[in-house]
Amino acid sequence: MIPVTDHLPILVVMIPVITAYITPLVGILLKRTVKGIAVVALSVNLACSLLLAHYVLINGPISYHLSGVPPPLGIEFVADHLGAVLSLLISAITLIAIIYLSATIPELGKKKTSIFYTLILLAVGGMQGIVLTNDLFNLFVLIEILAIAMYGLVAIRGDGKSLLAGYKYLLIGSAGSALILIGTGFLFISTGTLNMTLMGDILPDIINSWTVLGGFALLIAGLSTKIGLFPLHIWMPDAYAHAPSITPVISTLALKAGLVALIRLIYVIFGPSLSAETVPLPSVLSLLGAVAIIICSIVALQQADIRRMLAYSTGANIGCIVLGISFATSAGLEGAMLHMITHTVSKVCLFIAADAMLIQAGIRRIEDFRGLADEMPYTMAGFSLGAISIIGIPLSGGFMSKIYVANAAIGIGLLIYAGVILFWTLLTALYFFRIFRFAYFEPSHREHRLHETPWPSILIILILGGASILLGFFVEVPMEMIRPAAGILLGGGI
Amino acid sequence: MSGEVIASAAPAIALCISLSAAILIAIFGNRVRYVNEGVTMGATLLKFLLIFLMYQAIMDGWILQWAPVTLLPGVPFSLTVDLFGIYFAFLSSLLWIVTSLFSIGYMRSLHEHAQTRYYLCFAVCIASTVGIAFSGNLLTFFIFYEILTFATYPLVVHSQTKEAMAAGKKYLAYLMTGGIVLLFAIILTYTMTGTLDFAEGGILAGTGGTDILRLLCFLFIAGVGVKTAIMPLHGWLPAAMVAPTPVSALLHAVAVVKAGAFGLLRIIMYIFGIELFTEIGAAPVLAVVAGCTIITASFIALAQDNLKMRLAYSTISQLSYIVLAVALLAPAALEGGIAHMMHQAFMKITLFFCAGSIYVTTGKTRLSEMHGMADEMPYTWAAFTIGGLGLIGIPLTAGFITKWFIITGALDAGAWIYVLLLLLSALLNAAYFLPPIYHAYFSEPAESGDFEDQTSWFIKFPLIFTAMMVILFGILPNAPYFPLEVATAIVRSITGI
Repeated sequence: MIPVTDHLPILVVMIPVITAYITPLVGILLKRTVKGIAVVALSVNLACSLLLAHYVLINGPISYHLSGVPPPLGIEFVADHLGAVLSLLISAITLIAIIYLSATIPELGKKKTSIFYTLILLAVGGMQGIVLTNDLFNLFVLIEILAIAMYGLVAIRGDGKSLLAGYKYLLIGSAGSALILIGTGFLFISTGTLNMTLMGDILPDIINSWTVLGGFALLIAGLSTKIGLFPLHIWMPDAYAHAPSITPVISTLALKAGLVALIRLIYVIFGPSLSAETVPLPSVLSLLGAVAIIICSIVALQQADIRRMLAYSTGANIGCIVLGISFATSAGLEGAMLHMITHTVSKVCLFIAADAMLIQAGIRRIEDFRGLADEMPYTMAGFSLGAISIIGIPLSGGFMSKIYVANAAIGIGLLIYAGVILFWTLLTALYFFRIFRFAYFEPSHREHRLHETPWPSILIILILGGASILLGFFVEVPMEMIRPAAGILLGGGI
Repeated sequence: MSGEVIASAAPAIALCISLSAAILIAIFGNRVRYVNEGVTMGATLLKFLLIFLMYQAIMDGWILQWAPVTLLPGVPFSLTVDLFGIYFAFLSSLLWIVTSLFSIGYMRSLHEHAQTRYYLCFAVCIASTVGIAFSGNLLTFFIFYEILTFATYPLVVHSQTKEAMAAGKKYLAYLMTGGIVLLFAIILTYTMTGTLDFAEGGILAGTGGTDILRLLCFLFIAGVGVKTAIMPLHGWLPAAMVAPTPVSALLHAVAVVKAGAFGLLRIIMYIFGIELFTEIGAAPVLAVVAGCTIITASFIALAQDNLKMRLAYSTISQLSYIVLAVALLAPAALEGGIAHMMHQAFMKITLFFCAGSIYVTTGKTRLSEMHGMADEMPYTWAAFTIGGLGLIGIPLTAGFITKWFIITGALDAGAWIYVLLLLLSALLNAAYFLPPIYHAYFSEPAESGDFEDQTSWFIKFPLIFTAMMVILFGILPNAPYFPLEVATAIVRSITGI
């Protein structure tokens, strides 16, 4: 019998994908079981991710050859510390989101249930693949799987606004995919391989070729659309505002998967020294990251719709992560990865809390928050915990990850970027305190008193909110995985 | 921090007492009567007892430490109790007890709304103030320092009027900006030294050029200077006067401003070290700023008719005494400064209690309306007189002792100009405290008609108690546990004399 642990990297990807394929069939035959199957599949997936993370933490990275064919011919999956920790994050958050989703009233018609869950599972499979693959073309394929599922998830409501948002997303996303494909082609022509590690061995000798540099630029530009890096974040607000509740949650994770691809591009394929010296990567990406932080926060300040505000806040946070990645130091990378985790947990908490408010009370605009703390105290408490972490109030997860990134900026002498990150805290506080003021200090204008969200949803929101705070105190827990991850990546991958 | 370090969860338990009080209040406060008040009083007493017990261990030369998790490499979340920390925690927790009593009287008499929120935030404030006192490194200090900012915000905007909300905005804007600057300085320090521990003699010596150290010093002082209300960073303090009076007492005597002063002393003595601080030439500049603040704030105080506003500007002036004392760099001045931290707390809290007592009983806030009031409210005005005389620096009060030490220090340092400045300031203090006292006792009331003193004992007892302490500190400055005695020990351990 083959030990299961050997096949964990592929199991983590294939469980959601295969479940996605059978879900429409099940949907026709046994409509009621669709939710159950999705929950079971994602639970198994979480168990596999946990095993994988545990295995990687103890035994180091796993290299897995698909169908037993070794590279350069075969496709290789690498479960290093970065891949394992992100895989765990993706499984855990999607499972929580699915449980929340199945506990609330369905917003979509019954007809769409099975297609809805299919898209979610497909997106999960795509994300798991992106964070684990070590093959550039395979990466493109998985990015496309994820993207197509995401387009569907954005537009699934089928009304004018969501179709328009989905179309906007599709236009930008397809342009990005095309760039990624062309960039992959450029690098394949130059190196003759698609395996990232092998490319990384060959590239230093031919780095001065325009084809290679062009490929690098195309890949970075293409990935920027996927991660919503300023100024290519413009699809996010619309996509979040008009989609069902789960879409922003999945998208928050999808952005992180894209960031992992960016990290692999910069650190595994090109290597930190090449990226920093041959290409003026730090200056360009750092600048974009810093501008993203400031501009997105200022725009977020002006939003009246809570989901649009959260979308712009995500844009700023992506800027912070890109800033950390661009420093090409282990401190910067550690900070970026930690921020990926803390931001995901806190932002998902905010999205789910905002959704609970929308379903329960129709709250969509920020001015509707008046008196909410009185009427929905627990939902608002969960929302506040997530917001505290996003703002970066000590001692929360967001506070610690911002400190790590700011520390990395000062470590390489870029005091200005540390200043930007700290100033950003003030801007974030500005737009969240507007909500706090309405919710906690102003009376309600509603005619009827609202009812609190049902307790399963409250429990989920409070768990996520509590986790986003506790991550700050127990920052060593994720750091145990992140430190070796940064070490491996700075050494150019395994 | 010299002494034998032993691992102990006591500091964490002290913090958890207030935090569990906060949780209890949050859950039961709105449902069960008297939970707010009962839990608050129980927690303050329990906490005081625990801190008193810890004090004994510290006196025996131990240092208690609880550092369960690492936050940054080389920087744990560390609660470390040394003499300076326990000094601040002990006297603060003593003042908390009386402030809590006063709060009960005040909130009951005025039938205030949102009492659960009030007591909840109060408990979080206590926890964070003690957390500040027990912080073993700068990052832990910053964490509690910021939590204090956010926990006091709902107290400042308690009345939820437009004016209060505007003041709250100003309050947060000032304190958060200060926090950001402080955090920047902390990260810069971390990058330069790789540690953030408070250590006697400092951690920065020999780590960078004079320029970078000067920048760092500027950032640190600007950061904590906001809470210490050094001019021109003081704008939040008068604005925050819209808060209920027990909160003003808390903000201006114990928690917020003293957290700033405590942080300033910690940073100068334990991060820079007195020697390095002298070397980079920061002291004279700081002294000038402090001197200007003392005089300017006193003049502004003279012009205030609202009692709480006058007290607020007086606070700004008095806080800079502490800053000036440190900047003089003489051991005697340092002793005076550290003692003044607590002496001033007792004097100023007495005056705020009096202001609250007058407001609760008569609804009056302006000094010009308080003529001839001493007949009806003898206890309140006696306490006010003691507090006022103390701040002027009349012998046999706490204020005299600290001013004496600071002036001695100024003479030691040969800074004649500051001796004159301190004397001038005493005159100004007299000019703004003596007239109200005179009018209260000897002027005819503006509106005729006696009223009965129905002030609750919850209000009277605290102000009598703190006024007595002001006298005791003045008569027996060197008694054990009293501020001056401890200040001497702290300065001795830092300077090694």
